[in-house]
Amino acid sequence: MKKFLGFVGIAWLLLQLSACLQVDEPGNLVPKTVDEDASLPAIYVNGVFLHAEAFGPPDSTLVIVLHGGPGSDYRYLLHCKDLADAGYRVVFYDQRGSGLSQRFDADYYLDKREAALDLMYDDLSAVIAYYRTSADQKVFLIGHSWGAMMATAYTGKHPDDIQGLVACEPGGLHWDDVRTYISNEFEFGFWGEQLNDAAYMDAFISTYADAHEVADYKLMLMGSENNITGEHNVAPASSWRAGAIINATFLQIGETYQPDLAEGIEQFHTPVLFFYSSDNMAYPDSWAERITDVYDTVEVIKVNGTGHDGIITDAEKWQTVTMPHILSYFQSR
Amino acid sequence: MRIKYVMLLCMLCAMSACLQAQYINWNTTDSTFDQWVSLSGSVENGVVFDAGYAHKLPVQKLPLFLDIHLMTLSGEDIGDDMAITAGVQTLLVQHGYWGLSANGGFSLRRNENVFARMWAPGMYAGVAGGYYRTHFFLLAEVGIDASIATHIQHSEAYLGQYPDAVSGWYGPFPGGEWSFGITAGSSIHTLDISLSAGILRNMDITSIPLIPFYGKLGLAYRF
Repeated sequence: MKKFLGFVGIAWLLLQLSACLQVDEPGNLVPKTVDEDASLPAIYVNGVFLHAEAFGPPDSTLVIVLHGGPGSDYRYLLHCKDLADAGYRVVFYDQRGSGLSQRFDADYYLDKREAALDLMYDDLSAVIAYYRTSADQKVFLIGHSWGAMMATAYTGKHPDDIQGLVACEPGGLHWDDVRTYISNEFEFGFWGEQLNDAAYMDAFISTYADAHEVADYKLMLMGSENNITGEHNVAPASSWRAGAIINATFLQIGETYQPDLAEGIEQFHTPVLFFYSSDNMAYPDSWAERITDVYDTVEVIKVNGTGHDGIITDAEKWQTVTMPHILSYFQSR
Repeated sequence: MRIKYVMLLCMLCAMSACLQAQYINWNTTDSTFDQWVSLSGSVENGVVFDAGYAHKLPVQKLPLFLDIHLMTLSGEDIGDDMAITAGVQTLLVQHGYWGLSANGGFSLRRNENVFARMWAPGMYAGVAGGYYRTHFFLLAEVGIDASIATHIQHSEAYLGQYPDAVSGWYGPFPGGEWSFGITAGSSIHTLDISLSAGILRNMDITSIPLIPFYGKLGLAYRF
Protein backbone atom coordinates (compact mmCIF):
# COMPACT_ATOMS: atom_id res chain seq x y z
CA MET A 1 0.00 0.00 0.00
CA LYS A 2 2.86 2.37 0.91
CA LYS A 3 4.59 1.63 -2.40
CA PHE A 4 1.38 2.28 -4.27
CA LEU A 5 0.84 5.60 -2.52
CA GLY A 6 4.46 6.55 -3.17
CA PHE A 7 4.05 5.71 -6.85
CA VAL A 8 0.86 7.76 -7.05
CA GLY A 9 2.55 10.64 -5.27
CA ILE A 10 5.54 10.68 -7.62
CA ALA A 11 3.29 10.35 -10.66
CA TRP A 12 1.17 13.25 -9.43
CA LEU A 13 4.27 15.38 -8.84
CA LEU A 14 5.65 14.63 -12.31
CA LEU A 15 2.28 15.43 -13.84
CA GLN A 16 2.17 18.74 -12.02
CA LEU A 17 5.71 19.60 -13.08
CA SER A 18 4.98 18.75 -16.69
CA ALA A 19 2.05 21.16 -16.58
CA CYS A 20 4.24 24.03 -15.38
CA LEU A 21 4.63 27.17 -17.43
CA GLN A 22 7.92 27.61 -19.28
CA VAL A 23 10.08 30.59 -18.39
CA ASP A 24 11.40 30.87 -21.94
CA GLU A 25 8.04 30.62 -23.67
CA PRO A 26 7.56 33.90 -25.59
CA GLY A 27 4.83 35.98 -24.05
CA ASN A 28 4.79 34.37 -20.59
CA LEU A 29 7.09 36.70 -18.66
CA VAL A 30 7.87 39.38 -21.24
CA PRO A 31 6.02 40.49 -24.38
CA LYS A 32 6.76 38.85 -27.70
CA THR A 33 9.02 40.68 -30.10
CA VAL A 34 7.96 41.87 -33.55
CA ASP A 35 9.37 38.77 -35.24
CA GLU A 36 7.18 36.66 -32.93
CA ASP A 37 4.02 38.77 -33.07
CA ALA A 38 2.99 40.05 -36.49
CA SER A 39 0.35 42.34 -34.99
CA LEU A 40 3.00 44.72 -33.64
CA PRO A 41 4.05 47.76 -35.70
CA ALA A 42 7.36 46.89 -37.33
CA ILE A 43 9.73 47.64 -40.14
CA TYR A 44 12.38 45.40 -41.68
CA VAL A 45 15.59 47.28 -42.44
CA ASN A 46 19.28 46.42 -42.49
CA GLY A 47 18.50 42.75 -41.91
CA VAL A 48 16.54 43.21 -38.69
CA PHE A 49 12.91 43.48 -37.64
CA LEU A 50 12.52 46.67 -35.63
CA HIS A 51 9.55 47.68 -33.54
CA ALA A 52 8.78 51.11 -34.99
CA GLU A 53 6.07 53.70 -35.33
CA ALA A 54 5.83 57.10 -36.99
CA PHE A 55 3.45 59.97 -36.38
CA GLY A 56 2.79 63.24 -38.17
CA PRO A 57 2.86 64.32 -41.82
CA PRO A 58 5.15 61.96 -43.78
CA ASP A 59 6.74 64.73 -45.83
CA SER A 60 7.60 67.09 -43.00
CA THR A 61 10.89 67.26 -41.11
CA LEU A 62 11.90 63.88 -39.71
CA VAL A 63 12.46 63.66 -35.97
CA ILE A 64 14.07 60.37 -34.97
CA VAL A 65 13.76 59.56 -31.26
CA LEU A 66 16.51 57.36 -29.78
CA HIS A 67 15.95 55.61 -26.47
CA GLY A 68 18.39 54.87 -23.70
CA GLY A 69 20.03 51.71 -22.47
CA PRO A 70 21.47 50.10 -24.46
CA GLY A 71 18.55 47.76 -23.98
CA SER A 72 15.74 50.09 -23.02
CA ASP A 73 12.85 50.92 -25.36
CA TYR A 74 10.99 53.95 -26.67
CA ARG A 75 7.84 53.59 -24.58
CA TYR A 76 8.99 56.09 -21.96
CA LEU A 77 9.70 58.68 -24.67
CA LEU A 78 6.21 58.71 -26.15
CA HIS A 79 5.62 62.27 -24.96
CA CYS A 80 7.67 63.16 -28.02
CA LYS A 81 4.57 62.26 -30.05
CA ASP A 82 3.42 65.78 -29.20
CA LEU A 83 5.94 67.02 -31.76
CA ALA A 84 3.81 65.41 -34.45
CA ASP A 85 0.99 67.77 -33.48
CA ALA A 86 3.40 70.60 -34.19
CA GLY A 87 3.84 69.33 -37.72
CA TYR A 88 6.89 67.10 -37.49
CA ARG A 89 7.21 63.50 -38.66
CA VAL A 90 8.18 61.78 -35.42
CA VAL A 91 9.73 58.33 -35.68
CA PHE A 92 10.19 55.95 -32.76
CA TYR A 93 11.95 52.63 -32.95
CA ASP A 94 13.30 50.11 -30.51
CA GLN A 95 16.94 49.55 -31.29
CA ARG A 96 18.11 46.12 -32.35
CA GLY A 97 18.00 43.69 -29.40
CA SER A 98 15.95 46.15 -27.36
CA GLY A 99 12.29 46.59 -26.46
CA LEU A 100 10.11 44.66 -28.87
CA SER A 101 12.68 44.53 -31.67
CA GLN A 102 14.33 41.34 -32.85
CA ARG A 103 16.86 39.66 -30.58
CA PHE A 104 20.32 38.39 -31.46
CA ASP A 105 22.59 36.21 -29.38
CA ALA A 106 25.60 37.60 -27.55
CA ASP A 107 28.12 36.01 -29.91
CA TYR A 108 26.47 37.77 -32.83
CA TYR A 109 27.61 41.09 -31.35
CA LEU A 110 30.82 39.95 -29.71
CA ASP A 111 32.12 38.38 -32.93
CA LYS A 112 31.83 41.77 -34.61
CA ARG A 113 34.04 43.31 -31.96
CA GLU A 114 33.94 47.14 -31.99
CA ALA A 115 32.11 47.03 -35.33
CA ALA A 116 29.03 45.90 -33.40
CA LEU A 117 28.40 49.58 -32.71
CA ASP A 118 28.28 50.20 -36.45
CA LEU A 119 25.22 47.95 -36.56
CA MET A 120 23.38 50.53 -34.49
CA TYR A 121 24.49 53.39 -36.73
CA ASP A 122 23.63 51.41 -39.87
CA ASP A 123 20.20 50.64 -38.42
CA LEU A 124 19.67 54.35 -37.82
CA SER A 125 20.70 55.16 -41.39
CA ALA A 126 18.26 52.51 -42.61
CA VAL A 127 15.44 53.88 -40.43
CA ILE A 128 16.03 57.38 -41.79
CA ALA A 129 16.04 56.03 -45.34
CA TYR A 130 12.86 54.05 -44.68
CA TYR A 131 10.85 57.04 -43.51
CA ARG A 132 12.43 59.69 -45.70
CA THR A 133 10.19 60.75 -48.54
CA SER A 134 12.56 63.17 -50.29
CA ALA A 135 16.27 63.89 -50.42
CA ASP A 136 15.88 67.41 -49.05
CA GLN A 137 13.79 66.34 -46.06
CA LYS A 138 15.52 67.56 -42.91
CA VAL A 139 16.47 65.08 -40.19
CA PHE A 140 16.61 65.93 -36.47
CA LEU A 141 17.75 63.50 -33.80
CA ILE A 142 16.50 63.44 -30.22
CA GLY A 143 18.45 61.08 -28.00
CA HIS A 144 18.01 60.33 -24.33
CA SER A 145 20.82 58.86 -22.19
CA TRP A 146 22.44 56.12 -24.32
CA GLY A 147 20.26 57.41 -27.15
CA ALA A 148 21.98 60.80 -26.81
CA MET A 149 25.37 59.10 -26.85
CA MET A 150 24.39 57.19 -29.98
CA ALA A 151 22.91 60.31 -31.60
CA THR A 152 26.14 62.20 -30.95
CA ALA A 153 28.26 59.37 -32.34
CA TYR A 154 26.04 59.10 -35.41
CA THR A 155 26.12 62.83 -36.01
CA GLY A 156 29.90 62.78 -35.70
CA LYS A 157 30.00 60.19 -38.46
CA HIS A 158 27.39 61.91 -40.64
CA PRO A 159 27.66 65.63 -39.83
CA ASP A 160 26.17 66.70 -43.16
CA ASP A 161 23.16 64.39 -42.95
CA ILE A 162 21.77 65.70 -39.67
CA GLN A 163 20.26 69.15 -39.39
CA GLY A 164 19.57 69.18 -35.66
CA LEU A 165 20.72 67.29 -32.56
CA VAL A 166 18.95 67.22 -29.20
CA ALA A 167 20.96 65.39 -26.54
CA CYS A 168 19.28 64.61 -23.22
CA GLU A 169 21.74 63.66 -20.50
CA PRO A 170 24.20 61.39 -22.28
CA GLY A 171 26.15 59.68 -19.53
CA GLY A 172 29.48 60.16 -21.25
CA LEU A 173 30.94 60.37 -24.73
CA HIS A 174 34.60 59.54 -24.20
CA TRP A 175 34.73 56.01 -22.81
CA ASP A 176 36.44 57.00 -19.57
CA ASP A 177 33.50 59.29 -18.90
CA VAL A 178 31.03 56.54 -19.74
CA ARG A 179 32.72 54.26 -17.24
CA THR A 180 32.78 56.96 -14.59
CA TYR A 181 29.13 57.80 -15.10
CA ILE A 182 28.02 54.18 -14.91
CA SER A 183 29.89 53.71 -11.65
CA ASN A 184 28.29 56.88 -10.26
CA GLU A 185 24.71 56.24 -11.35
CA PHE A 186 24.10 52.94 -9.57
CA GLU A 187 23.91 52.22 -5.88
CA PHE A 188 24.43 48.47 -5.85
CA GLY A 189 25.48 48.46 -2.21
CA PHE A 190 26.82 45.16 -0.98
CA TRP A 191 24.21 45.07 1.76
CA GLY A 192 21.47 46.72 -0.28
CA GLU A 193 18.09 45.38 -1.30
CA GLN A 194 18.64 45.91 -5.00
CA LEU A 195 21.75 43.76 -5.38
CA ASN A 196 20.41 41.06 -3.12
CA ASP A 197 17.06 40.94 -4.92
CA ALA A 198 18.85 40.64 -8.23
CA ALA A 199 21.33 37.98 -7.14
CA TYR A 200 18.80 35.92 -5.22
CA MET A 201 16.63 35.56 -8.33
CA ASP A 202 19.21 33.11 -9.68
CA ALA A 203 17.96 30.58 -7.14
CA PHE A 204 14.46 30.86 -8.63
CA ILE A 205 15.16 31.29 -12.34
CA SER A 206 18.54 30.63 -13.87
CA THR A 207 19.77 32.67 -16.80
CA TYR A 208 21.32 30.57 -19.52
CA ALA A 209 23.28 31.90 -22.45
CA ASP A 210 21.05 33.71 -24.93
CA ALA A 211 17.82 32.83 -23.14
CA HIS A 212 16.48 36.26 -24.00
CA GLU A 213 13.07 35.92 -22.34
CA VAL A 214 14.62 35.05 -18.98
CA ALA A 215 17.46 37.56 -19.16
CA ASP A 216 15.13 40.37 -20.26
CA TYR A 217 12.62 39.52 -17.54
CA LYS A 218 15.23 39.55 -14.81
CA LEU A 219 16.61 42.86 -16.04
CA MET A 220 13.07 44.26 -15.96
CA LEU A 221 12.68 43.11 -12.35
CA MET A 222 15.98 44.75 -11.42
CA GLY A 223 15.10 48.09 -12.93
CA SER A 224 12.83 49.72 -10.42
CA GLU A 225 13.74 53.08 -8.94
CA ASN A 226 17.13 54.73 -8.86
CA ASN A 227 17.50 57.27 -6.09
CA ILE A 228 20.76 58.61 -7.53
CA THR A 229 19.50 59.44 -11.01
CA GLY A 230 15.92 60.14 -9.92
CA GLU A 231 14.46 57.54 -12.28
CA HIS A 232 11.04 56.01 -11.66
CA ASN A 233 10.76 52.94 -13.79
CA VAL A 234 7.88 51.47 -11.78
CA ALA A 235 5.46 54.02 -13.21
CA PRO A 236 2.90 52.33 -15.49
CA ALA A 237 3.89 52.08 -19.15
CA SER A 238 7.53 52.94 -18.50
CA SER A 239 8.81 50.25 -20.81
CA TRP A 240 7.82 47.26 -22.88
CA ARG A 241 10.73 44.92 -22.45
CA ALA A 242 14.36 45.23 -21.48
CA GLY A 243 17.14 44.00 -23.75
CA ALA A 244 19.53 42.23 -21.43
CA ILE A 245 21.86 40.65 -23.98
CA ILE A 246 22.48 43.87 -25.93
CA ASN A 247 22.95 45.73 -22.67
CA ALA A 248 25.54 43.30 -21.33
CA THR A 249 27.38 42.73 -24.60
CA PHE A 250 27.62 46.41 -25.51
CA LEU A 251 29.04 47.23 -22.10
CA GLN A 252 31.50 44.39 -22.60
CA ILE A 253 32.42 45.64 -26.06
CA GLY A 254 32.77 49.16 -24.72
CA GLU A 255 35.06 48.05 -21.92
CA THR A 256 37.16 46.03 -24.36
CA TYR A 257 37.51 48.50 -27.22
CA GLN A 258 36.75 51.80 -25.48
CA PRO A 259 35.04 53.53 -28.40
CA ASP A 260 35.03 57.32 -28.52
CA LEU A 261 31.43 58.34 -29.11
CA ALA A 262 32.47 61.96 -29.58
CA GLU A 263 34.65 61.16 -32.56
CA GLY A 264 33.94 63.54 -35.45
CA ILE A 265 31.36 65.62 -33.59
CA GLU A 266 33.66 68.64 -33.88
CA GLN A 267 32.77 68.56 -37.58
CA PHE A 268 29.14 69.26 -36.72
CA HIS A 269 28.89 73.04 -36.65
CA THR A 270 25.15 73.24 -36.10
CA PRO A 271 24.26 74.23 -32.52
CA VAL A 272 23.31 71.29 -30.29
CA LEU A 273 20.43 71.50 -27.82
CA PHE A 274 21.49 69.79 -24.59
CA PHE A 275 19.31 68.95 -21.58
CA TYR A 276 20.24 67.71 -18.15
CA SER A 277 18.28 67.38 -14.92
CA SER A 278 18.71 68.85 -11.46
CA ASP A 279 17.75 65.68 -9.57
CA ASN A 280 20.27 63.34 -11.15
CA MET A 281 22.99 63.37 -8.52
CA ALA A 282 25.37 61.66 -10.94
CA TYR A 283 24.97 64.64 -13.28
CA PRO A 284 26.05 67.80 -11.48
CA ASP A 285 26.65 71.05 -13.36
CA SER A 286 30.34 70.21 -13.62
CA TRP A 287 29.52 66.93 -15.38
CA ALA A 288 27.22 68.69 -17.85
CA GLU A 289 30.04 71.14 -18.60
CA ARG A 290 32.46 68.28 -19.13
CA ILE A 291 30.16 66.38 -21.48
CA THR A 292 29.09 69.41 -23.54
CA ASP A 293 32.70 70.43 -24.07
CA VAL A 294 32.88 68.27 -27.20
CA TYR A 295 30.18 70.17 -29.08
CA ASP A 296 31.17 73.06 -31.34
CA THR A 297 28.17 75.15 -30.28
CA VAL A 298 25.71 74.09 -27.62
CA GLU A 299 22.69 75.48 -25.83
CA VAL A 300 22.48 73.91 -22.38
CA ILE A 301 19.16 73.66 -20.54
CA LYS A 302 18.95 72.45 -16.96
CA VAL A 303 15.52 70.99 -16.17
CA ASN A 304 14.88 71.65 -12.52
CA GLY A 305 12.80 69.46 -10.25
CA THR A 306 13.16 66.20 -12.10
CA GLY A 307 15.60 63.38 -12.74
CA HIS A 308 17.29 61.56 -15.58
CA ASP A 309 14.20 60.35 -17.41
CA GLY A 310 11.90 63.12 -16.20
CA ILE A 311 13.34 65.48 -18.82
CA ILE A 312 10.87 63.76 -21.14
CA THR A 313 8.70 61.47 -18.98
CA ASP A 314 7.60 64.16 -16.52
CA ALA A 315 4.49 65.49 -18.26
CA GLU A 316 4.71 68.91 -16.64
CA LYS A 317 8.43 69.38 -17.38
CA TRP A 318 7.90 68.13 -20.90
CA GLN A 319 5.09 70.56 -21.58
CA THR A 320 6.60 73.59 -19.89
CA VAL A 321 10.35 73.21 -20.39
CA THR A 322 11.60 70.48 -22.69
CA MET A 323 9.16 70.59 -25.57
CA PRO A 324 9.05 74.41 -25.87
CA HIS A 325 12.87 74.48 -26.08
CA ILE A 326 12.89 71.68 -28.64
CA LEU A 327 10.25 73.37 -30.79
CA SER A 328 12.11 76.67 -30.59
CA TYR A 329 15.33 74.89 -31.55
CA PHE A 330 13.72 73.06 -34.45
CA GLN A 331 12.17 76.25 -35.77
CA SER A 332 15.57 77.96 -35.72
CA ARG A 333 17.17 75.26 -37.84
CA MET B 1 27.41 26.57 30.70
CA ARG B 2 25.51 25.81 27.50
CA ILE B 3 23.46 28.96 27.82
CA LYS B 4 26.68 30.91 28.17
CA TYR B 5 27.99 29.53 24.88
CA VAL B 6 24.73 30.19 23.06
CA MET B 7 24.78 33.77 24.32
CA LEU B 8 28.36 34.09 23.10
CA LEU B 9 27.30 32.88 19.65
CA CYS B 10 24.46 35.37 19.55
CA MET B 11 26.76 38.19 20.57
CA LEU B 12 29.31 37.28 17.91
CA CYS B 13 26.56 37.17 15.33
CA ALA B 14 25.20 40.53 16.38
CA MET B 15 28.67 42.05 16.28
CA SER B 16 29.64 40.70 12.94
CA ALA B 17 26.41 39.97 11.06
CA CYS B 18 28.55 37.95 8.71
CA LEU B 19 28.90 34.58 10.29
CA GLN B 20 28.02 31.21 8.96
CA ALA B 21 28.38 27.69 10.23
CA GLN B 22 28.50 25.23 7.45
CA TYR B 23 30.17 22.05 8.65
CA ILE B 24 30.98 20.45 11.93
CA ASN B 25 34.05 18.54 12.89
CA TRP B 26 33.05 14.90 12.54
CA ASN B 27 36.21 13.85 14.32
CA THR B 28 34.25 14.43 17.48
CA THR B 29 31.44 12.07 16.54
CA ASP B 30 32.58 9.60 19.12
CA SER B 31 31.78 12.17 21.78
CA THR B 32 28.36 12.58 23.31
CA PHE B 33 26.92 15.52 21.39
CA ASP B 34 23.59 14.95 19.73
CA GLN B 35 22.58 18.50 18.79
CA TRP B 36 24.14 21.63 17.41
CA VAL B 37 23.15 25.19 16.64
CA SER B 38 24.77 27.22 13.94
CA LEU B 39 24.96 30.82 12.83
CA SER B 40 26.46 31.93 9.59
CA GLY B 41 26.92 34.74 7.13
CA SER B 42 27.65 34.12 3.50
CA VAL B 43 27.78 35.58 0.06
CA GLU B 44 25.91 33.23 -2.27
CA ASN B 45 23.21 34.72 -4.46
CA GLY B 46 23.26 37.68 -2.10
CA VAL B 47 24.37 38.36 1.42
CA VAL B 48 22.75 35.59 3.46
CA PHE B 49 22.35 35.22 7.22
CA ASP B 50 21.56 31.72 8.42
CA ALA B 51 20.50 30.25 11.74
CA GLY B 52 20.37 26.48 12.08
CA TYR B 53 19.58 23.72 14.47
CA ALA B 54 20.42 20.03 14.13
CA HIS B 55 19.27 17.09 16.19
CA LYS B 56 20.58 13.54 16.09
CA LEU B 57 18.08 11.01 14.82
CA PRO B 58 17.72 7.60 16.46
CA VAL B 59 19.55 5.68 13.75
CA GLN B 60 22.05 3.01 14.67
CA LYS B 61 24.30 2.64 11.62
CA LEU B 62 25.15 6.27 10.89
CA PRO B 63 25.36 9.51 12.88
CA LEU B 64 22.33 11.01 11.15
CA PHE B 65 21.23 14.53 12.05
CA LEU B 66 18.04 16.35 11.15
CA ASP B 67 19.24 19.80 10.09
CA ILE B 68 16.89 22.82 9.92
CA HIS B 69 17.85 26.32 8.76
CA LEU B 70 16.23 29.70 8.48
CA MET B 71 17.91 32.16 6.13
CA THR B 72 17.30 35.76 5.25
CA LEU B 73 19.05 38.10 2.86
CA SER B 74 20.48 41.51 3.55
CA GLY B 75 18.52 44.55 2.40
CA GLU B 76 16.17 47.22 3.60
CA ASP B 77 13.24 44.78 3.70
CA ILE B 78 14.42 42.01 5.99
CA GLY B 79 12.33 38.88 5.56
CA ASP B 80 10.99 39.52 2.08
CA ASP B 81 13.82 37.42 0.69
CA MET B 82 14.27 34.27 2.75
CA ALA B 83 14.51 30.51 2.78
CA ILE B 84 13.87 27.63 5.11
CA THR B 85 15.48 24.26 4.67
CA ALA B 86 15.02 20.90 6.32
CA GLY B 87 17.24 17.96 5.63
CA VAL B 88 19.72 15.51 7.00
CA GLN B 89 23.46 15.51 7.39
CA THR B 90 25.59 12.50 8.09
CA LEU B 91 29.09 11.11 8.09
CA LEU B 92 29.05 8.45 5.39
CA VAL B 93 32.58 7.11 5.70
CA GLN B 94 35.38 7.55 8.16
CA HIS B 95 38.84 6.07 7.78
CA GLY B 96 41.40 7.30 10.25
CA TYR B 97 41.41 11.06 10.01
CA TRP B 98 39.66 11.03 6.64
CA GLY B 99 35.93 11.30 6.29
CA LEU B 100 33.16 11.85 3.79
CA SER B 101 29.97 13.58 4.86
CA ALA B 102 26.76 14.14 2.94
CA ASN B 103 23.75 16.34 3.27
CA GLY B 104 20.45 16.66 1.49
CA GLY B 105 16.96 17.91 1.96
CA PHE B 106 14.23 20.25 0.86
CA SER B 107 14.01 24.01 0.75
CA LEU B 108 11.38 26.68 0.39
CA ARG B 109 12.49 30.08 -0.86
CA ARG B 110 10.81 33.44 -1.14
CA ASN B 111 11.88 36.48 -3.13
CA GLU B 112 10.00 39.74 -3.52
CA ASN B 113 10.60 43.01 -5.30
CA VAL B 114 8.34 45.73 -6.63
CA PHE B 115 7.49 43.75 -9.76
CA ALA B 116 7.04 40.16 -8.58
CA ARG B 117 6.84 37.79 -5.65
CA MET B 118 8.34 34.33 -6.06
CA TRP B 119 8.08 31.13 -4.06
CA ALA B 120 10.16 28.10 -4.90
CA PRO B 121 10.15 24.66 -3.29
CA GLY B 122 13.45 22.98 -3.98
CA MET B 123 15.92 20.27 -3.16
CA TYR B 124 19.56 20.32 -2.23
CA ALA B 125 22.29 17.73 -1.85
CA GLY B 126 26.00 17.80 -1.29
CA VAL B 127 29.04 15.83 -0.27
CA ALA B 128 32.11 17.07 1.55
CA GLY B 129 35.20 14.97 2.03
CA GLY B 130 38.43 15.72 3.77
CA TYR B 131 40.69 15.56 6.73
CA TYR B 132 39.32 15.77 10.25
CA ARG B 133 41.53 16.28 13.30
CA THR B 134 40.46 17.16 16.79
CA HIS B 135 41.21 20.86 16.42
CA PHE B 136 40.79 21.48 12.70
CA PHE B 137 39.32 20.11 9.51
CA LEU B 138 39.83 20.73 5.80
CA LEU B 139 37.25 19.71 3.21
CA ALA B 140 36.47 19.75 -0.47
CA GLU B 141 32.79 20.09 -1.24
CA VAL B 142 30.37 19.68 -4.12
CA GLY B 143 26.73 20.57 -3.92
CA ILE B 144 23.61 21.12 -5.96
CA ASP B 145 20.70 23.29 -4.96
CA ALA B 146 17.74 23.45 -7.33
CA SER B 147 14.25 24.84 -7.34
CA ILE B 148 11.74 22.17 -8.35
CA ALA B 149 9.32 24.81 -9.56
CA THR B 150 8.90 28.54 -9.02
CA HIS B 151 5.62 30.30 -8.43
CA ILE B 152 5.67 33.85 -9.77
CA GLN B 153 3.01 36.36 -8.81
CA HIS B 154 3.38 39.58 -10.77
CA SER B 155 2.56 42.83 -9.01
CA GLU B 156 0.29 45.59 -10.26
CA ALA B 157 3.47 47.55 -11.06
CA TYR B 158 4.65 44.83 -13.45
CA LEU B 159 1.21 44.34 -14.95
CA GLY B 160 1.31 48.09 -15.57
CA GLN B 161 4.25 47.39 -17.87
CA TYR B 162 3.02 44.11 -19.32
CA PRO B 163 -0.66 43.34 -18.63
CA ASP B 164 -0.47 39.88 -20.22
CA ALA B 165 2.33 38.63 -17.97
CA VAL B 166 1.39 35.14 -16.77
CA SER B 167 1.49 34.47 -13.05
CA GLY B 168 1.69 30.83 -11.94
CA TRP B 169 4.01 27.89 -11.53
CA TYR B 170 7.09 27.81 -13.73
CA GLY B 171 9.25 24.75 -14.13
CA PRO B 172 10.38 22.10 -13.92
CA PHE B 173 13.65 23.03 -12.27
CA PRO B 174 13.75 26.65 -13.52
CA GLY B 175 16.58 27.69 -11.21
CA GLY B 176 19.45 26.21 -9.34
CA GLU B 177 23.17 25.96 -9.04
CA TRP B 178 26.12 23.71 -8.54
CA SER B 179 28.72 24.69 -6.00
CA PHE B 180 32.34 23.60 -5.89
CA GLY B 181 34.57 24.72 -3.08
CA ILE B 182 36.65 24.10 -0.02
CA THR B 183 36.08 24.56 3.68
CA ALA B 184 38.61 25.02 6.44
CA GLY B 185 37.51 24.80 10.03
CA SER B 186 38.84 25.03 13.51
CA SER B 187 37.42 23.46 16.66
CA ILE B 188 37.70 24.85 20.15
CA HIS B 189 36.10 22.47 22.61
CA THR B 190 32.62 22.07 21.15
CA LEU B 191 32.71 25.19 19.02
CA ASP B 192 33.49 24.83 15.30
CA ILE B 193 34.47 27.85 13.22
CA SER B 194 34.49 27.29 9.48
CA LEU B 195 35.38 29.30 6.42
CA SER B 196 34.20 28.19 2.98
CA ALA B 197 34.83 29.52 -0.50
CA GLY B 198 34.08 28.30 -3.97
CA ILE B 199 32.44 28.86 -7.29
CA LEU B 200 28.80 28.67 -8.37
CA ARG B 201 27.58 27.45 -11.72
CA ASN B 202 24.10 27.19 -13.17
CA MET B 203 22.59 23.76 -13.66
CA ASP B 204 24.09 23.46 -17.15
CA ILE B 205 27.56 23.99 -15.56
CA THR B 206 28.70 26.28 -18.38
CA SER B 207 26.71 29.41 -17.55
CA ILE B 208 27.18 31.45 -14.42
CA PRO B 209 24.86 33.22 -12.01
CA LEU B 210 25.06 36.96 -11.28
CA ILE B 211 27.40 36.29 -8.35
CA PRO B 212 29.46 33.34 -9.59
CA PHE B 213 31.20 32.56 -6.32
CA TYR B 214 30.42 32.05 -2.67
CA GLY B 215 32.09 32.62 0.64
CA LYS B 216 30.84 31.56 4.05
CA LEU B 217 31.90 32.15 7.59
CA GLY B 218 30.19 30.20 10.28
CA LEU B 219 30.00 28.97 13.82
CA ALA B 220 28.53 25.73 15.09
CA TYR B 221 28.15 24.87 18.73
CA ARG B 222 27.77 21.18 19.48
CA PHE B 223 26.10 20.00 22.65
